[in-house]
Amino acid sequence: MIFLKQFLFTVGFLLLFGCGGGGSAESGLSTNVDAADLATTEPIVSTSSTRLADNVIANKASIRMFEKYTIRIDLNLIEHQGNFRFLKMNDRDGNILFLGQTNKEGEIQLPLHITVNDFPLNAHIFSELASDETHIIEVNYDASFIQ
Amino acid sequence: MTHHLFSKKLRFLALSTLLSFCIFGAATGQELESTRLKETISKGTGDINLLLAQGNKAISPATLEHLRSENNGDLVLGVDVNEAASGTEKAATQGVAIEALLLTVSTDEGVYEYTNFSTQTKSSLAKTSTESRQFYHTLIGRTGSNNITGSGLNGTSFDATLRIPVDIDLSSANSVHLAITLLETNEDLGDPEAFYDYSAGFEDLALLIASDAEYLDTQAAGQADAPLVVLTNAPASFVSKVYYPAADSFYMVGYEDQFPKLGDYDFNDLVVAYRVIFSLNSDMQVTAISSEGYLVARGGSFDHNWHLRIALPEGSQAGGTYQLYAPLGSSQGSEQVNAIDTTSGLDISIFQNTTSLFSSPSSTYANTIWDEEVIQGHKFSFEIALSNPVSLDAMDTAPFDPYLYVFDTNYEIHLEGQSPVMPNSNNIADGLDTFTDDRGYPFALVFPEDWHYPNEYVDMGDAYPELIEFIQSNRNNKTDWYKNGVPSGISKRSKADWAW
Repeated sequence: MIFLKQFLFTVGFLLLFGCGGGGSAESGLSTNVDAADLATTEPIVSTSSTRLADNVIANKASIRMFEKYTIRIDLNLIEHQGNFRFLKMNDRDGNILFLGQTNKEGEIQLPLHITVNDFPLNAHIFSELASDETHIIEVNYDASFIQ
Repeated sequence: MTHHLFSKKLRFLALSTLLSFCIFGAATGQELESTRLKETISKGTGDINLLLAQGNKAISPATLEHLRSENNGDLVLGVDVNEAASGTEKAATQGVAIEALLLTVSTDEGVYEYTNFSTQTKSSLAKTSTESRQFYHTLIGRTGSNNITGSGLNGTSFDATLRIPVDIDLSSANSVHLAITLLETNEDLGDPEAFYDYSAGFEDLALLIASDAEYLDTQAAGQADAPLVVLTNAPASFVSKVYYPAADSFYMVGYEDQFPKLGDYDFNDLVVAYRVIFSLNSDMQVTAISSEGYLVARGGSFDHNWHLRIALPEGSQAGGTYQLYAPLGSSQGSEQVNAIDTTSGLDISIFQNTTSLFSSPSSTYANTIWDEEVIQGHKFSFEIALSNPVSLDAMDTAPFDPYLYVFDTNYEIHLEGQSPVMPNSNNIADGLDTFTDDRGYPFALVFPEDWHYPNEYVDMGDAYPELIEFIQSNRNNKTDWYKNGVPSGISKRSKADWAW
């Protein structure tokens, strides 16, 4: 029987940052778009029709569904006796976002690209030993995490 | 009578010579070859007679001993991993884990039992009904993964090796039996357990000569795509994977191809499903990029090339290939394997000339008319290896740059926020380097895979009445608008229909 521990986001064990927006087309490399992108969008001119053709949306409005989040996990607080440390990150439907081996200590950062509907996420940290507990960290969506 | 006796003596002599030759030949290894065994692993268990080959042919103890001797004291079995393609298991990678095995050798001197074994790979897995994980040896393979030759090996595709150290001479064995049990994993936990579960099988087995064993080990079939692989002989050289959007789901990108003119907002002029996977080393640096996807629908009459561009940091070098697969029964195009040119970054024209590549016999379009016959589209996959690992934060970010080149207009169509990249397209010459229309809508959108594209000419706001509120609320309300389409306005096709 294994005991599963859940760590709360608020204890600072796990830091979650979100960065909205897409990559810079000029460089082709990722840039963290100002998340004010979300906050300053002007509303569209409302009509009774739901058709896109009957509505005009203002500059900076977006229909984007996916957002970029960087999940930061500090592994220092997990005490495992095994020689290996594995991490699995999945969304609320169990879809795997990250799966692999991690450094035994320190912080790792995972840039993910998910929708708000994919929360809560779960990070599973385990080793190769049955005697090491699998730690499960639940990450709930919070708009304040978006920077 | 004399003649008859002479004849009997001659036959006896000939038979003795033949037997001697066979025994000598087997003992010297001149005729030694890998041999497929009669019995298989079925439904997770196998009781295998190692002295019985496919076709009820006997394998002599002397041959078995020679194989053991040639493999440095190990009996080496090749395993044809043959699992159902579900979840992250697919033709390119399949796996099972071994819970236990027992090799029993019976000789006149006694019975010897062996339980130690090894494979090339391990993974940390939870057994069914438990959540605690521990290492189990795994067997990984893919469909059609090798071309080793030998007795009874035609039509098989052996993948992984299983080594059992045996410290006695087997040439005098009366029987050699292998009882093997595959691990019943806790599939409820998803991967890695779901990947390494076993289905009905069958897993074929073969006794391997040393060169075939080495060949299979070098091939490492399916290992690159399998989850949570720990190499038995090199546990520090691990690979992790980050999936965009997820290991078992796809982005759906839909286009309006009339750019820069206003479209009809059905976002089905071309619909493509794709996902991208980064392989990471122990320093969380990207060492390889892979992707796969499908043509889902074409509701435009313009001809296009569909590209996927993933920008690489300046100076990066990479190499790889991409594969284009034609659906069964398709008359458009055939399977292709092409080298990827990364001299100008990673920008692959994957689906070319979509009107000819993806055309329905009953319609101008493909899969966007509500009552037309549906067809399957081509699928692709590619993998490139980076010559020098790149830190994850220096890599291009999802959903990357899936763009359309439209032959009829000579325009590129990218996601909002991207810029044109083709020097000879009309975008830059015409000053059209952004991708929103006069009403503020983009010409390309990326959706989760449970989005169903609208039927032909159906405005997406009609197909999804909650979409406008999603936009009006700055994407705070109705965030699951794409799950609530009007049935009469959207395609009935689900992932099971296009992900063949």
